[in-house]
Amino acid sequence: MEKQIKYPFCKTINRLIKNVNEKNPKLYIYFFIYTIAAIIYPFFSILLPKLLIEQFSLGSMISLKNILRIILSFFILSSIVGFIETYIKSSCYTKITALRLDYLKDQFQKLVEMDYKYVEDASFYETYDRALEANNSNDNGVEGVYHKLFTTPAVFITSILFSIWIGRVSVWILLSLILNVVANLWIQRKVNEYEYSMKKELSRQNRRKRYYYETTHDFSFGKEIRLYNLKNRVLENYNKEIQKYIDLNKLIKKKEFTLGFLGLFTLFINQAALYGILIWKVVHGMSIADFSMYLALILQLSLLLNTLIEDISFIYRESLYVYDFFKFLDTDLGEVGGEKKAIEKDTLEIEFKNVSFKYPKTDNYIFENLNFKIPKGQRLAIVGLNGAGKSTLVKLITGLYDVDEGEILINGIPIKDFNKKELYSMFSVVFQEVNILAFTLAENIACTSENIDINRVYEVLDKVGLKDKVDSFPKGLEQMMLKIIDENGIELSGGESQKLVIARALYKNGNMVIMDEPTSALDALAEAEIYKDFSELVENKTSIYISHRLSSTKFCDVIALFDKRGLIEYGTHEELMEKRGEYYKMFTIQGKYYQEGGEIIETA
Amino acid sequence: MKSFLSISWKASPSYIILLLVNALLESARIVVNIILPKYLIDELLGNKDPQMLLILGSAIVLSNVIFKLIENIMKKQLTIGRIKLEEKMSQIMANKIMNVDFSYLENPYYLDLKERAVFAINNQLALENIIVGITNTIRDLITIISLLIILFSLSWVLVVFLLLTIGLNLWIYSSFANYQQEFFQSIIPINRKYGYYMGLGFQDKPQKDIRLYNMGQMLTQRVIEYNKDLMDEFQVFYNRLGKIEGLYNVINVLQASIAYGYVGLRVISDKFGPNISIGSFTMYVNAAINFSQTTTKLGKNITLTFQMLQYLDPFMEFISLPETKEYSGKLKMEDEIKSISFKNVSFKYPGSDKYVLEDISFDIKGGEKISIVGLNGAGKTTLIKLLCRLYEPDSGEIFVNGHNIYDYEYESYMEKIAVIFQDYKLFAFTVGENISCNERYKEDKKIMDLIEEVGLKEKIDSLPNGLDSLIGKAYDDKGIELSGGESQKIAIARALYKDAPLIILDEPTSALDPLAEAEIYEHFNTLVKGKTAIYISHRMSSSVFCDRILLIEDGKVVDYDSHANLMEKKDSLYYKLFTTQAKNYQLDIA
Repeated sequence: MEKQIKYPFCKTINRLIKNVNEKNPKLYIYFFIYTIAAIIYPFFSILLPKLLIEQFSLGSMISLKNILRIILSFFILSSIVGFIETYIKSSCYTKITALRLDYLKDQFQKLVEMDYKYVEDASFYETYDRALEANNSNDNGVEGVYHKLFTTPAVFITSILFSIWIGRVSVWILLSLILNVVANLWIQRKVNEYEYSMKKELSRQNRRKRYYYETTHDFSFGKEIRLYNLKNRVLENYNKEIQKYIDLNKLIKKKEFTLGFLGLFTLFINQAALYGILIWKVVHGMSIADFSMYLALILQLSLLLNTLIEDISFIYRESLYVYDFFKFLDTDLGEVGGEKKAIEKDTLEIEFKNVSFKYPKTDNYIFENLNFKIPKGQRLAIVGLNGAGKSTLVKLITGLYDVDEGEILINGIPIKDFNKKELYSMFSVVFQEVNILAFTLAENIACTSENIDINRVYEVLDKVGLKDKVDSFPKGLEQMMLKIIDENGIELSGGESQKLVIARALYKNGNMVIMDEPTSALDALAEAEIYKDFSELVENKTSIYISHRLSSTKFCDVIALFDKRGLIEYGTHEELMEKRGEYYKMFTIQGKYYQEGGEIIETA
Repeated sequence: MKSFLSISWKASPSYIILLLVNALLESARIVVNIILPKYLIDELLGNKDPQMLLILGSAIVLSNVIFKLIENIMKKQLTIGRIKLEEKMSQIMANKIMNVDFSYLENPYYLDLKERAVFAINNQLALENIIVGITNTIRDLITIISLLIILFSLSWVLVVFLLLTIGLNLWIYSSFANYQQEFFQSIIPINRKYGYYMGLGFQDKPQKDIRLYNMGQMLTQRVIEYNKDLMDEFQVFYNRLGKIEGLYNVINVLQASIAYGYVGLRVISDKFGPNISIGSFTMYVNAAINFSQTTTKLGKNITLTFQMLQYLDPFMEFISLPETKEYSGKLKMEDEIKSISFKNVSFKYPGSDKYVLEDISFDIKGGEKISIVGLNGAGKTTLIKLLCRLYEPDSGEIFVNGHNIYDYEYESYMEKIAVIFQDYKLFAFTVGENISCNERYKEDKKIMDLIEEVGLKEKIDSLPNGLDSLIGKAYDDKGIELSGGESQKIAIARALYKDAPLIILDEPTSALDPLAEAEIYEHFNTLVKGKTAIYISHRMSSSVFCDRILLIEDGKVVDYDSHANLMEKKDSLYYKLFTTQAKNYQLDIA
C-alpha cells in the first residue's frame, strides 16, 4: 500500500495562475467582477424573508408600501447582480477551456518531438499516465482545476462571512457545523487514500479490460474472429475482466459507505445543536424573523461548506494530474541533442565503432561489438534473417536510438554531437510502413505547410511516376489525403502509397538514403519500378537498402549480412557467392524456384 | 430516445429501478424540508409547548439524518450501477461488431460510424450525462407535482402567476434550443477531426517518419489552428448562453418576488383568502421558490438530455445494424474436398461502382495446390473472402463438392477452411491458445509438432513459460514481444492446427527471411499433404511448386494453367512477372 503522494500543491497552483498572467490577463478582471457578484448574491435571499417577517410582526403598523418597496428592491438588485454573475461565468467558461487547449498543444508538441526511444517504451506511458490525462476533459485535470479556482474563492469568502454572522449568534452552532465539515473532509481523505492504494490493481485491471475493449471494437480483428470461431471466447474473457473491474470498484465504494457513518454522526450533532439552540433562543426572546433568517443562513452555509469541501478536495486531487503534467513538460525527453549542424553539400560516411546495443529494459543484445564502415557514395545492401536487427540498424544510424556502448561516427563526427533535428535532416528514409497523414498531397511530400517548393514537388512526383495520377485529382496538389478529414480525400493503393513516400524522400534530398523493406507488399512489376526509382533517388549519395529479397542486392555495391551473432559476411555479391557461406545459401535457396523455368529441385 | 431506454432497461433493469427510487426519495426530502419547518414556526409563535417543540425539532433533525443515510446508500449503489451500465453498453457494442455482417467491417462509413459511436460514450460521457439527465428529470417532475399540490392548497392564483413566468422561461429556452442543437451538431465533426490530429501524437506508427521528416511543426501548427477555430466557435456560443442563463435568473428572481408578494399579502390581509400564519408564509414561499427553480432545472435537464441523446445517434445506428444473415443452409460439410468451382462470379464492394471480380469461372480439383497471381488490386484477396463467406457474390455461384457454399451450415463450413490473411492478427492469449484457438491444449503433441515444422521450436524453448507465454504487452506487461517473422509463423501454425481440408494462405511468408521462407516452402508439400490449398503471393517463386496458377488481371481470369505451360506464353503478364523477379537471381555460372 503506497501512501498518498505528497506533491508541491502550492507550487502547482501558483504555476497554473502564472499561466493565466501570460495567456489571458483579462481573465482577472472577469474573475474579480464575478467574485464580487457571487458573494453579494446570496445575501439578498437571506435578508428578504427576515425583512418581510419583521414587517408582518408590526401588527397594526404594517405598511403595504414598505413591503412593496422591499420586494421591488430585492427584485431589481437581485436581477442585476444575478445576471452579471451568470453571464460572466458562462463567458469565461470558454476562455478557461482555451487555456487547457493551449496546454494540450504543448503536450502534443512534446510527444512528437521527444526522443524516439520513449515511443516504443510501454513504461513511458505508464509513468506519464496521469500527465497525459490531465488535459483530456472539460471537467477534470487542468481545466477542472481552473474552473474551480474561478468559482471557489467566492464560495470561500461567502462562507467566512456567513460563519462570522452565525458565530455572533451562537458559537456552538458554528462549531458543530465545522465539526461536521471536518468529519466529511477526513472521510474524503481516507477514501482517496484507499483508492490510491488500489491504484496499481485498478490500473492493471483497467488495462486488461481495455485490451478486450480494443480487440472487440477493432474491426481488423473481424476476419480472424469469424474464421477461427473465437467470438465466444473473446466475449467471455471481456466479460470476466469487466466483472473483476467492477468488483474492485465495489470495494472502494463499500469503504466510502462504511466511513460515511462517521459523517452521519457528526451531522446529527450539528443538526441537534442547530435546532436545539435556535429553538431555545426563540423561547427566550429571539424574533421569529431572526429565527427564519438564521435557519436559512445555516442551510446556505452548510451547502456552501459542502461545496467548498468538495471543491477543495477536487482541486487537491486533480492538481496531482496537473503536477504530473508539469513534470512531463519540464522533463528533458532528449529533444535537442548536441550542437553540431547538419553536414552540407556532401554525402555521408558512417562508421560503427565497437557498438553494442539492446533495447531499453530488455536483456537481449541486438548488437555486440559491431564494427563496420560505410564509405561515402557506397550502395550497401543489408540482408539477414529475422531478428538480426536490420531495422534496429536504421534506428541507430539515424539517431532514433542511442547506442549503449561504442560510438557511431558520421564523417568522423560522433553522432551524439549533432543536434537531433539537424541529424534527422540528413537522412531520406523510406520505411516499409507507409505513413500518409490527413494533409494535402503537397504537405505530405514537403512535410511542411509553409514555403512549399511547388516545382520541386512536381519534379519528384514525375520521377516516381505519380504525376499523371496527381493531375487527375480535382484539386491537384491541394487534394486532401485520406478520408478522415475530407470525405472526398484520396486513398492511394499500396503501390502508389509507396511511391508517394519515395517522393517524400526525394523532395527532402537528404545527404543519405535508407530504404527499409519498401517492396514487401508490392507485386513484381511495382517492385521493379521501385528498384528503378532507387537509382534515381540515390544518385551519388551513400545509401542503404534493407530487404529480405536478395534480388535487391543486384543494384548495390556491397552486401552486409547480419544474423543473431552480428555482422557475419561483408563483400560484393560475387565475393560472397564465391565464399559459399550463409549469403550463398540464402541466395540460392531464394532463387531456387526461379531457376530454369522452375523445376522443383528436391533437396535431401 | 425510446430505443435507448429499452436498451438500457434490457441491459440493467435493477439500475433503472434504483434510479427511479432515488428520484422519489430525493423529491420526498425536498418536500419534507418544506413542510416540517412550518409546524415548528407556528408552534414557536403560538404555544411554545416544550414537549411539542422537542418533538418537532427532533423530527426535523432525524429526518435530515435519515435522508443523509439514504443518500449514502444510494450513492454507493448508483455509482456501481452506472459503471455496470456503461460496461454493458460497451459489451453490446462488442457483441454487435462480432456478429454484424462482415461487409460492414471493411466499409469506411461504418468504421467512421463506430468511431463516432464510441467517441460519444468515452469522450463526451454521453451515457453518464443522459442517465443523470433522465433521473434528474424524473426527480424534478415528482417534486413539481408535490409542490403544486402544496401551492394549490393556498391559492390557484399564485400557481397561475408562476406558470406564466415558467412559460416565459420555456419560450426563451426553446428559441435558444434550436440554436444550441445546430451548434453542437456542427461541432461534432470538428471535434472528431481535432481528435485525429491529436491522436497522431499517440500513435506509434507514424513517429519515425514524423521525426525524420520534421513533421512536428506542421502537425503542431494544425493543432494550434484547430484550437483557435474551436475556441472562437465556442466563445460565441457561450456568450449567448450566458445571456440566456442570465435572463432565466432574472425570471427566477421575478418568480420569487411574486411568491413573496402574494404570500405576504395573504399574511397581512384577508382580501384574497383566509389569513395565513407566518409559519405557513415560510412554507408557501419555499414551496413557490422551489417550484420555480425546479421547473427551470427541468427545462435545462430535458434539453441537455436530448442533446446528449443526439450524440448517441451513431451508437444507436450501429447497434441496429443487421447481423449476419441466418442462412438456412443445413448441409454438413464433408471431411474431404473433392472440388471447388466458381461459376460466373461477379462482385463489387458495397458502395462502389467498380466490379472487382467480373464473370470469374474456374475449377479446382480436390487435393490440388493452386496459386493465384496478379497485380496489386487485381482481386486476389477478394476471391478468397468470397470463398470464406465473408462476402456474398453479386452474381454467379460458388460450389464446393457440387453444392453451393451457402447451402452448407455456416459453422460446419467454416470448420473445414483454414486461412491465413495478409493482415492476420494474434491475440493476447498464450502461444498455445493462439495456435489451437482453444483453451485446452496442454497435452497436445500436435502443437509441438507444428511448432517444430514452422521453425519455432528454438524460440518457444527459449521462453520461460514456453507455450504458456502470453503474447504481446497490451494485456499484461509480462507478455512477450514476437518479431514479425515469429508472429507469422504462429499464424501459419494456427491455420495448420485446424487441420482443415481446404487451406488458404494469403502472403504467408512476406515477413520471413529467405531461410525461414524456404523452410516453409520445403515443408509445404508435407504440411498440406492431401489438402486442397490456395496460395497467394507476390513472390513468383511460390507458384512453381503449385499444380496450377490462376492469373487474374483487372478482375477477370486471364489464364489458368501450370507454371511450365504459362511460361511458354512469352507475352503474357505471368511471364513478365516471373522473369522480372527471376532475373535478379540469375546465378553466374561459377
